[in-house]
Amino acid sequence: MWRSLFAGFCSVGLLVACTGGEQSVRATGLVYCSEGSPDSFNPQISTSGTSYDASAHPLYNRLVDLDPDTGEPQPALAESWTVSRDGTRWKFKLRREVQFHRTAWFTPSRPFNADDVLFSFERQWRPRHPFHRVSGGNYAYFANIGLGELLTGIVKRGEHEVEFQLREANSSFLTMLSMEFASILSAEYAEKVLQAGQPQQLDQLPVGTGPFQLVRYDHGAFIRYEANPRYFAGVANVKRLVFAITPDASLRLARLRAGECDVMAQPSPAHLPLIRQNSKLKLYSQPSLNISYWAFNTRRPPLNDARVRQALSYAVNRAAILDAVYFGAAELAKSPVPPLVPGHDHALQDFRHDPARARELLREAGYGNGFTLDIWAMPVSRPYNPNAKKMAELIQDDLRQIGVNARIVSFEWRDFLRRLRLGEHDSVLLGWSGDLNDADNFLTPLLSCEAIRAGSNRALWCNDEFDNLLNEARSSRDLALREQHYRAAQELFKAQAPWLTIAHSTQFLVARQSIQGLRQSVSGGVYFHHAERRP
Amino acid sequence: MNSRFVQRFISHPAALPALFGLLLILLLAVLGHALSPFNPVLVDPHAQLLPPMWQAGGVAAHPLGTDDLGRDMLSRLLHGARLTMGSATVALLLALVAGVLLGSIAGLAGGLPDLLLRRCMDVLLAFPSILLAILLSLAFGGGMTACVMAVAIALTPHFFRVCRDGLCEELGKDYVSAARLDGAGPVSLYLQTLLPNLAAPIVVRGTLAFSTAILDIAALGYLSLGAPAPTPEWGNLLASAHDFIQLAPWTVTLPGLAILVTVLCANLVGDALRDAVNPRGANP
Amino acid sequence: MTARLGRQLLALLSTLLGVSLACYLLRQQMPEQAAPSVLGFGRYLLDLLQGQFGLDQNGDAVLHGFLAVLPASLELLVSASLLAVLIGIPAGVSAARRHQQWLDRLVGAFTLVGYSVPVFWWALLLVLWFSLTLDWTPVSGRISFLFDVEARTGFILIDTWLARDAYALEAFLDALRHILLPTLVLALLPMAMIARVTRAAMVDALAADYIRMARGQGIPEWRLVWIYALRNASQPVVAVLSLQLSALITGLMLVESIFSWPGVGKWLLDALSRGDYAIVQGGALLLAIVLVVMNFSMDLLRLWLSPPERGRRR
Repeated sequence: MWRSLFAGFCSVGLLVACTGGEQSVRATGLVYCSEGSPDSFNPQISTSGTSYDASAHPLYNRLVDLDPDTGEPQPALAESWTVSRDGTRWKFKLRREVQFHRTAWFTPSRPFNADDVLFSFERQWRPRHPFHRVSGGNYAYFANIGLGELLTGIVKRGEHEVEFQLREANSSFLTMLSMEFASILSAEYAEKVLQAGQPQQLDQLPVGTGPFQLVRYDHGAFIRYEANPRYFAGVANVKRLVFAITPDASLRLARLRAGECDVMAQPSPAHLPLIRQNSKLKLYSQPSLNISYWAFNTRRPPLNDARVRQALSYAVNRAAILDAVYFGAAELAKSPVPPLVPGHDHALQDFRHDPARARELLREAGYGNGFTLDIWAMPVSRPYNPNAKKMAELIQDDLRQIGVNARIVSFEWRDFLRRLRLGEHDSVLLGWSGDLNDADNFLTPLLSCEAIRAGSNRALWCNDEFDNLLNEARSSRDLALREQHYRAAQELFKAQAPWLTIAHSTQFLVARQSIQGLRQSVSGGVYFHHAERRP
Repeated sequence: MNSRFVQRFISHPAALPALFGLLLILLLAVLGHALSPFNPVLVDPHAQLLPPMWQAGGVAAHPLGTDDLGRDMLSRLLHGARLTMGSATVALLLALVAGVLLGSIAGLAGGLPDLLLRRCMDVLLAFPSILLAILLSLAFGGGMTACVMAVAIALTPHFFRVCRDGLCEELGKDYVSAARLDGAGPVSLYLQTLLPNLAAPIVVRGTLAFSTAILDIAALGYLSLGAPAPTPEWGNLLASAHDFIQLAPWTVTLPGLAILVTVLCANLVGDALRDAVNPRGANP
Repeated sequence: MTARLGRQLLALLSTLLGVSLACYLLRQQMPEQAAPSVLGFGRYLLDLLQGQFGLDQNGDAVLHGFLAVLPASLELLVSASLLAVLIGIPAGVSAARRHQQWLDRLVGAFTLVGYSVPVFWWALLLVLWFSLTLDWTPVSGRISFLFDVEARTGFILIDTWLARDAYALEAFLDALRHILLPTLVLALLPMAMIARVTRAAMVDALAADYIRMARGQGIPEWRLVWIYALRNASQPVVAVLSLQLSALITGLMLVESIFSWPGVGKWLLDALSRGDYAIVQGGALLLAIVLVVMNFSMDLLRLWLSPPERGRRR
């Protein structure tokens, strides 16, 4: 018996020994433990950072990119551009010989050209476009940013030349074109799937021009990419790239520590000290443009009463949340607009933790005996909120102090977002990662009446005065006047309290020391084009 | 007979310590509310993830440390003892009553009822407690009730077998025939002659089933198929500690140790009882 | 023999009928379902016989999904059972031969702990030690995400061999590394059970008259122990195993959930948390059917192993 046991242990040791070294597959492959499943592989129809990280960054390119350091627009699929003197006509010269992905489901017959640009924007812009209604027809970002109203025409001036015509000059137009929703898809592929009667395939089996191409997506388990061998900006070092979908932050770290993945998204702030101590791991961080909030469904009683919303805001001890959920890696948010962003109201009066005041407000509103409330806590961790369930538990505890009985509700992520869009919630803990250093980017997509239609206004809050302020701010050329409008809008927001703003967090990324050349994206993901493994 | 039984029980080396251990744990479970220093669901943001007092950074106020929300581990474990052992006991008693009742019917009636009941038990054996808990939570909504029911149903066939097989064996023995000849009616024969002889194997089975019940209840709690989230059931404690295994190992080791010690004591007592009842050392 | 086999088959069929009835009754308890009726059950049975176990949320057949995840579970179950037998039986036999000595006590203590450890806790401890502290083994899944192994048989250890590319060996070793911890965890309970029952049965068998007679005739000791006695002792081992099969399945589901092992248990639990009730109902029934069939084959094995009964029925 002992002999067989001994032999068993020896073979186990051998196993460990001979698979521990560097091998071909491991040397040229990279596994990224991501935090959730993408809702599609088309950034035009997604709004979640998770989907952008899995689609826009590895699979597609835009006409222009922003320089990560200076924020200046750089050529990407557009080689160069010129703008008319009045600033309303932008002419882009397109890069030649850019090849679309050759995959199991599509073989391109021609390189990228102007038709692809037209297709990519007109799908989102023209309600009559054959693809406009495909996959839900919800182009939240395109709509929120107001590109539909800004554009008057997109004209093909040649095989490799496109002109964008605007209603008025807009200084952030190039920045808009660098955003994820402005990714360029293949018109030829679209034509093919349309003829096959499967137009929604365009959004699920993607074909782009990016550094990686999709091999297989196993729903909820992994996304397998391979390097695009014809990538115009140089073939990626990493030959096989896998996103291992791991919603559990603790399991993500365990996988990273055990060497099952090389890079992980969004470590739980609780684990930061552990990661800093570990000499095999490297921590990347950047201050982020994000906001975590608790939105009240303002269409449901008793939350349609501003006093009730204020009372709930007074009841929550947010300092404790920062400690327990973010472990200090965040700052208290008093406005939806982060302090770094121009237009943030530094003088804004914030709710302090005051249960007595909360009870008083509830009495005034006629709910002295309390009520029952659902808190929806998202099932995944995002940079703005690493642990919504824990946050919900803390809030539940705070609400008990003022006689409000809270129930914590959660669904699978996709289901969760779908139900939210239908407005089935009482209140929800959610957040937003902005991609522009612009106050409008935090207010219009989340709190305007238009955003209710787009399905991203979680409070279902529509206030005409607030919308007017935002419109005036957008159209004013005078920076001071513009900021004044934004400050007024934030004060109105605070008085009406459709949300309780909770935190602006710091974004983290962890990688094994041997991985180099990573770059963090603003939405919390990673660019893998230049990543490589150093022994 | 009785004193010989006690002697045999005591002669088992680990029997007495295990019995005392089990009684102590039961006592702690009953008195848990009075003994625990804190409210087990009390959140304290200033005392998060404190290690046990014998480790660096631990404090005497929380002798076993705190969890990620600053809840006192000792209090949670004490309350958990009551929840876990309480529901295990309920499940055990339900299974015992159902198993003995059905087993007696099958054993006494024989023939078709016996066959049908045995088939039913085979059907139940096809459903492990987790599967049952999943199905019950689907049909009747989840929570503690479904969990206890599932464990009880999964345990019933064990008692059924002990009782039925025991009865079949006893019925063929001479003393039963003698009692019959004496004119004992079926009811009095069952209650006065057969049941006392079955009591010992049933108690042995019950002690061993108790440990199974605790393990199952904790397992279901771990998979969130049992008590709802903030309840400090032992399996629940482990489930919520799962996220902190890398950061605060004690939140994982302590509830697990609690389960291990309890189940170990129950198993030791069960083993000693079985050896005492059946000195030849045949198996369950 | 044939008659007995026939009766066993009849028992199998009636048990399967009972299992479907139980699932049908539970299903009708759900909201939006009609009250149970004989006609309804008939229709349900007819569907089952045609292999229709329902459709999941994406409109795929539940049976298809079940068959896709079953090999992963079977693979783990087989490797754990093998380990349990390979260690449990020698341990039990050695303990019986040195009855009441230190080895016997050691095996006794080990089996007792093996019985009493909560599987999920044991799994977490092993992960904490082997994967996180020592960095030896992966913590989840069947193979590194980097390998794209074509599922031909569904058994990853076989599929990696079948995939005749340059990375076959690397993939196979990686798969072995992945199955190591789940196997160790899952094998603990059956290992303890086997060691314990083997020990008890062997103590009896070694004391039996025929062994003493055989020993007197000069038959070598190893033959006595490992062939004659063990064969007689194997019947109670199988009997206990079949009674504990459901405990093994419980352990399997826990292990799959902890190690993200893509088998039946994880599939069912994920479906439950997703709210895909068709999978839960159909999958639970299918798993129960598999269990009944496994129990049946254990019965057959026992029948084959037991000479007295064979003799009687001949």
